[in-house]
Amino acid sequence: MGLWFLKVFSGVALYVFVGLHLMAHHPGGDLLDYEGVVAYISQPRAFILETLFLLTVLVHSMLGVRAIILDLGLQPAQERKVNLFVFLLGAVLFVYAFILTFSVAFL
Amino acid sequence: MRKRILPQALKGTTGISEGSVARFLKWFDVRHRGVGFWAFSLNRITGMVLVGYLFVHFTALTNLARGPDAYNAFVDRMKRPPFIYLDVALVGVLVFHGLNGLRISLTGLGVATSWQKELLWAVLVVGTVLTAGAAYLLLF
Repeated sequence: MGLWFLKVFSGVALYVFVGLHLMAHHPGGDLLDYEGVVAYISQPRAFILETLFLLTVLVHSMLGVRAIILDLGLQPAQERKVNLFVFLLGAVLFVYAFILTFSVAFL
Repeated sequence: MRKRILPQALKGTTGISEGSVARFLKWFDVRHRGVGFWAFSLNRITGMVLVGYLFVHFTALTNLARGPDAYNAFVDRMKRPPFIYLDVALVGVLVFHGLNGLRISLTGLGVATSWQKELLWAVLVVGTVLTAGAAYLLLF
């Protein structure tokens, strides 16, 4: 039940984060070029916002992936493996995207 | 005769049984089902599409790390067909998943449970309007 609430709250938060992300990166339906993206994400406030967006979207999507896999009706031992798998996948994706964004923004 | 749907190699090693896969595949069988089931199936399917897109979106980040030439070439490619049409479809998927997810959350919390069908129609109408607006912005 706690994870269900986490999925709901992260989903609601995504309304805000996706909205802000689209407004910043796709002004008027266009796409920012390299200089535009770097200028935006190198602002500390925007970097924190994008990092929170990344974290929220990964939590929400990994919980969704977990729910879909668990719908297969697995044994408890397999469920624990699924939990570990989605946690590790989310963690790897977060670290990968965070390092790339940080290096582009500040290095 | 029962149809075998699980590859032999998966049985006994993954904990996945033929019953599990059949249960999974039932999402896609919307015959004789109510509107709520269609919405549930569509939410799961659009969710899977969005997870797939998340991985694709990370390639944009990879191109960003490769420098201005790689990223600007990537952006130019994304602005042209067929990618721009895929973007419109993606907005439709995102809007439906977001609005329908909100509907499912509300009914899951016991709010407006007797209005489920009406809310679903509202999701479809609002989703269509928002997607049409996004399509206009992206294509014109």
